[in-house]
Amino acid sequence: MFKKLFRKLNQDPVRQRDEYNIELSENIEETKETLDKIIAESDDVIVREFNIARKRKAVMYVLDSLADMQALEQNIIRPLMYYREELPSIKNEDAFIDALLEDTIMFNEVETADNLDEAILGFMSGQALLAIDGVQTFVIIDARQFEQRGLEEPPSEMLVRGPRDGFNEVLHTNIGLIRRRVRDPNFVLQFGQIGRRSKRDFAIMYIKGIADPKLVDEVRYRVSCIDTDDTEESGNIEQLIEDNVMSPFPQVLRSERPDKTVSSLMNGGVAISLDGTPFTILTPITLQFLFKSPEDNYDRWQIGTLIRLLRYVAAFIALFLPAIYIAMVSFHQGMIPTLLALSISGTREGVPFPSFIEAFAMEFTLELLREAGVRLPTPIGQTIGIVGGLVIGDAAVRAGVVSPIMIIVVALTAISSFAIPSYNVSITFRMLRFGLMILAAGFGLYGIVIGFIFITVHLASLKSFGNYYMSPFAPFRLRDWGDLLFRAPLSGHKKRPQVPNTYDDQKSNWTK
Amino acid sequence: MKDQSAAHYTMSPLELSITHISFTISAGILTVPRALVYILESSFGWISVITCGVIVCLYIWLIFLLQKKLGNEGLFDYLKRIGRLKWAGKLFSLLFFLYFLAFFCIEGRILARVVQIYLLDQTPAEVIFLFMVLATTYACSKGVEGIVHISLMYFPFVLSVLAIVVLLNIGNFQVNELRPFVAGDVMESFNILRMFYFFLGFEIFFFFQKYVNPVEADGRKQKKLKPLRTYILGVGSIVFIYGMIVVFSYGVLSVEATKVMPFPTVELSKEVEVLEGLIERVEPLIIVMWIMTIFNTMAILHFLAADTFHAQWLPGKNANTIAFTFGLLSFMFAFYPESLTETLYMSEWIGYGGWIVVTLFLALGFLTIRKNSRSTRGTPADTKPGGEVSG
Amino acid sequence: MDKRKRVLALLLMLPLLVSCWDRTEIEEVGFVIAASVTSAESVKEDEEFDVGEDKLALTYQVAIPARMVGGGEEAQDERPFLTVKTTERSNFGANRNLPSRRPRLMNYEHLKVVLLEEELVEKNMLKYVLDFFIRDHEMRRNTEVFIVDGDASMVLNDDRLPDPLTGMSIMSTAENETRDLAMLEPRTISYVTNALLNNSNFVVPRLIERENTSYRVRGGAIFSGDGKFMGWLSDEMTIGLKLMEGNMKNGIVETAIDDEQDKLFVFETSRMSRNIEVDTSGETPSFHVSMKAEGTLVESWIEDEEAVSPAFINEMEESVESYMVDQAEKTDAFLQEDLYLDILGLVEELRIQDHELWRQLKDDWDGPEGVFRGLDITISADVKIRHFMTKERVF
Repeated sequence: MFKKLFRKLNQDPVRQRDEYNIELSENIEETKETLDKIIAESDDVIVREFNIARKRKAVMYVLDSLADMQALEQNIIRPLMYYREELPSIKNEDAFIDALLEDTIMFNEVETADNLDEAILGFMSGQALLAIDGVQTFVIIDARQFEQRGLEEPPSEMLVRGPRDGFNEVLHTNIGLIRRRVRDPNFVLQFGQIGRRSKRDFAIMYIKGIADPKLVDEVRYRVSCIDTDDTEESGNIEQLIEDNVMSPFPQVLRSERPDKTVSSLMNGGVAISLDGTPFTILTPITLQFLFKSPEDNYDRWQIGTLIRLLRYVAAFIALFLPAIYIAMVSFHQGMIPTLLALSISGTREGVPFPSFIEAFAMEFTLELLREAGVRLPTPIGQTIGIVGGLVIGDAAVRAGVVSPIMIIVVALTAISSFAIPSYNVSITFRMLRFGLMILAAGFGLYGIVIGFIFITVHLASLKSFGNYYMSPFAPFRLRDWGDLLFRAPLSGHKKRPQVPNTYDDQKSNWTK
Repeated sequence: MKDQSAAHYTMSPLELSITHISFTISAGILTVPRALVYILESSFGWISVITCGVIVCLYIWLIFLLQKKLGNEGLFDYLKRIGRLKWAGKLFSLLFFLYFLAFFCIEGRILARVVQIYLLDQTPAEVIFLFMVLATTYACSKGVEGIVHISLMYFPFVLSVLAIVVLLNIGNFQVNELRPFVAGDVMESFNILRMFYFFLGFEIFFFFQKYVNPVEADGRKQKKLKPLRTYILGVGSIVFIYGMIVVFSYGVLSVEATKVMPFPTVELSKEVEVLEGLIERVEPLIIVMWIMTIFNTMAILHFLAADTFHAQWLPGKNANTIAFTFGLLSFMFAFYPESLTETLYMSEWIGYGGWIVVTLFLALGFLTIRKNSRSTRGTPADTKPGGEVSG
Repeated sequence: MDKRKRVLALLLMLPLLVSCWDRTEIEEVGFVIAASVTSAESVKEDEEFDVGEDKLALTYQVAIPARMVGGGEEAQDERPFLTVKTTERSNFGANRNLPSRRPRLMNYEHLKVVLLEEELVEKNMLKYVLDFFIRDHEMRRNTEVFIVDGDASMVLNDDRLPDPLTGMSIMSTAENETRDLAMLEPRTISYVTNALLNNSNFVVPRLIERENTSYRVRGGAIFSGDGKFMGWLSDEMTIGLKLMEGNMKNGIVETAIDDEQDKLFVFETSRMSRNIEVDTSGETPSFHVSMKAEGTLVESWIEDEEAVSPAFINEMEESVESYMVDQAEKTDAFLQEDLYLDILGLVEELRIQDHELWRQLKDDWDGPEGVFRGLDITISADVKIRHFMTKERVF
């Protein structure tokens, strides 16, 4: 059976590049033959032949999966077939086309194309191609219609307070969401196609007069340098345009939220949106951006400040806690307060593994649970997370394989790593955590310090599109400290941040 | 890529000042109270700390004047450019290389010892040292901006840890230990020769001042920021930090006890006990903080030595190779002194040596620049500033 | 990847290869909570301690953490610690007897108290005995020191609920000194070291062992600046000392008006300070100690209608004052006439107020021929009763 199917699918020989003729012919039959060879090989191509005003032959090619067939039938084919007036002479081609476009076809986006290259790209993205006998021009009708998801709240960036809409997979919808928020004529949006074969649409967005022109040029340059078959997701673009490929730290921000995107644009950032993914790339960023959430600004500044501080503490815990546990338990028992030392020692009594193995195994289990929870369908995934955590933790303690303190450490670490708003940086922290644990197991606190030094040295010279990653810590930028660990009241944010560099500093005027 | 960024890299006077502070406060912060007691035999340490501060300010002022004449190139760049002074550049880069190497070894040795005493009893000192050298070599590969940024990042840590130790010790502080404030052997406290070692670090102005941005991004002249005042304030903070530590170790540990402790500052942190033992152990904090400062200093030493030597002797080669060689050399020399006492003793000599090299270099700068002032002014723009350490 | 990077990568992999030199898991460590140092039995009562010949006996109280956690009934039955005794010529030597006897290595980082036996201290061994506890990096500077009147090693066998670890409970007990005038402030190793280094006299709290049954922290042991044991400070004398140090805290004065025993009342201090004035006009300096105390009436058995009148309160204040001055004078007399030793810190005051005179006198301050013996010391007290708690009179 499969053999049969296989033979059927492979009956046509593989098409070679120069087998077809790029020139358009006056004769509809020849054109049809060419087009059939190029595009009609797939089964979802609809080839509709009809006569214009019952006289002239025409053929329409359209992709069934991308076009609105009903609209085409209603607004194009029907008026053409029932065209009553005298057709202009075939000799006057332009007049003929004009008559068609202006008098007959009832559609918004109609264009003409003289060569096949132009036409094919449009066709492949869902436009209808109309070829008419005796005319050497294609009429391209944009009757695209996509299936699209509703504007749901992005699951990767949940907020308590804030807009509930998120981007979906359709570029135009996403742009619409941004346009609705920015009505500044200086908002610039540039389309382009990326991918040698996929020819996906992408858009570079920035606000002229705020974004540094050098930055915009740099982004354009880097994106245009991408030469690959397909960028399946904006993550691919991200990896191809980032400054340091070896760095574990994300060098651009990703967001599914239009409000976050807009706020980045307003601060002089450049956004790249790709068709087919809800994730927009925001650039440039510094480390502190990864600790920010739009919510910080939606609530009053005291709350914002408190939550900000909490996140930095969470990052510290997520990165260092297991390593510190190992260092303290295996090396520096004297540094633990006496009673705590005694109770750790008491609970570890009978645990067969050194603390490093214990911590490593538990952290590994946790990562495993997390990964499994993501793969499984949502309701089961959550259950697995909770049940798995509880059951394994409890069983491990009862079996005397790990100490209860270890469970606390692991749980705290896990919770902390989820408290960081950027999912990707929390993965980075998890990764580094294991490294630090190894160092702690070898050299205790000294190992942790050395690990910390290596991380900071790496960060000290890391850049994202020419901006130092550790700014405003280093280089020291005083102005940005108003929105860092501490979020000043909004009336204090009179100027845009110093990083990224902006063309126009003034953000708001508060005159009293 | 690193070449480019180093060439275009600029910093603000504040950043340079913070780098200077981080460079100066290193191994010394642990031993400074003891060193002072040894000289003075009474509690007048703070006077000599201040005197030293004044002298350092003087030096910085002189280097600043020199730099004004040089425009945006360093003295070494200048010597290299002027053909007949090439030998001087080579000679001094070698001297500085040796001085930095010795300094680096001493710091590393003290580090290894302290880590052994307080953290890792059995781990060989060589391994501890090796890890530090690896870290500094890595830092070197990041170029000037990496070095400066590390200082900027660590500085708040250092300050806050010292502040914590001092604040939590206020309860244990006994003013009587310091009294009487003025009496007896005041004159002796001007005997500051042995304090040299603790204040070395201002030579950084020879190397990094050329990166200080004369014009801000928005076109404002940096002059308005009064760089010299910022540098002097930096020295002031060093004096203040040392002063605080000295005063608190005398006040909390008593002068006599400070005398017998190799590392009074750590002992100071051991005295802390807050809220009935809830926070009873802050010495890991201070040791972590201290490892960071000493790394900072060592990284700057490593970078300066490798960079200067590279620019003067082997500009064609990869700077990282030189940094790597420096690391290897330091590994060989660091374990030459046989004991901690010997190490501390040698540190004094390095203090003198460093002071002499810096003074000579400064003198050379003033002598030659006066002669060549015209040619300097002619081509300030041609020369490319920037250490050529590439990534 | 060039060669250099490859070398670097290899070096970075080093931590994977090295054995972890210092790794000792927390459960493989025995935490010493308290230690006592006594002289081994072989040493005769009245002979000098022959350093290098005679042996020290060290008793360690080691926590058994497993018995501390989990609560439960079974935990109650067994004591959460064990005591180990070992003898050797030096402290460290004695420690090194333990690894061959116990599976766990001893860790001294949580040492809370060091108990020194009177017999040992009497033989001027304080300096030598403490050296180990100061020098070793594992030792904490705030370990507390007590001199035991009785058998020090027996104290460590005593568990006192609800604080089952003796070391911890001694520490907590010593903290109660704010409530008892006869208890001295706990002294840490750091304090003793500093005193020895500064060559100033000091007092260390005494721990009285009571015939295997319990212990009591009261009084103190007096040492001279060179670590010589000079004698006990009795409970009574301790009160005087604390008063003169301005250190009453929440201590009480139980006294009666005009020494009529039926007019008994109790005064609790809430605030106290003392001031020492030095008068250097004479040939030898003279000192005036003035004490100021404020507090409340916490118990009164006086059945008097006018018990709340200001005049009556004045009377009460006066009797508290006279009690305080009496106690202080007793202690002062004891120090000046019996011990010839200044533990009041008068020499410090002199140093601060007249540096020159201090220089001349400091070397022969103490001792039978010293300056301190003949000093003119006057004492005065000023007491204020601020209120009477919630009740004015006895019913």
